[in-house]
Amino acid sequence: MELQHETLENGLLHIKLIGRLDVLGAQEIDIKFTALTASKKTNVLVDLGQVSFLASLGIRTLITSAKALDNRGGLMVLLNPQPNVFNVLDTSGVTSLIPTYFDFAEACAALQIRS
Amino acid sequence: MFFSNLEKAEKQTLAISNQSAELARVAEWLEQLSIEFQLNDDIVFKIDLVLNECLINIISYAYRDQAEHTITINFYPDADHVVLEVIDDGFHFNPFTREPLPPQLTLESATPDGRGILLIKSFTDNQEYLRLNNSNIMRVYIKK
Repeated sequence: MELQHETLENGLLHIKLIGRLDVLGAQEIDIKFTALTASKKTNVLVDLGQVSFLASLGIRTLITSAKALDNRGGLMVLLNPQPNVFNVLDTSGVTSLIPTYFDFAEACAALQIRS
Repeated sequence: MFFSNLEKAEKQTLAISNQSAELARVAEWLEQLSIEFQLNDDIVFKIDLVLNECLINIISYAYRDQAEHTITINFYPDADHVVLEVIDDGFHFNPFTREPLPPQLTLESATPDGRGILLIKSFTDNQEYLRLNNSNIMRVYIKK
């Protein structure tokens, strides 16, 4: 699993995950993902467009960081999950906890309203 | 729940040890099955999800000792269904009688864990469990 990140001109943190977010994938990115998202108040856009598989341990990674951000007054949104990944997110109730968008501009707008 | 007889059915079998690193071998096996039995991407995703959730539960929680144990996975290709069977010799545990997670409406009250069994049930069309000869046998059916 690969993690790429950049701070956008509008100040949002854009994290792109690439690969399988299963137990092994979650282990590979957990420390870096948590360090980026949970250490300070920030608004984070997590791009799932290139995540081909998601299991409950990947959900754990997302919810743990989203909770930590929420505690600091920040917000996480998810962007562009593939259909089967979206089904996992929706079935497990994640989409009602972490806003999920399929349009980059809409996702950015939702984060900027909160900043 | 009725536990149907698959004794005479054609099957493919993989045996792994109770180590999370074995999941890489399971992924390779699934890729071979998907080619051999021409499984479409949605079916492969469901099998992948079920095996990930089930195996990590067994590896993490089923054993009270530090010994090596064998987990057996049987795959039964059928005209209408894919049937997956996972057999472990851990302590008696029927995943399908567990209480579901209560609804979680806010991040503050949400728990990061506990979604694996919900996913297994949601991404399969039928589930069976049997305790036999000190083993747990979990079987799920996925419509093609």
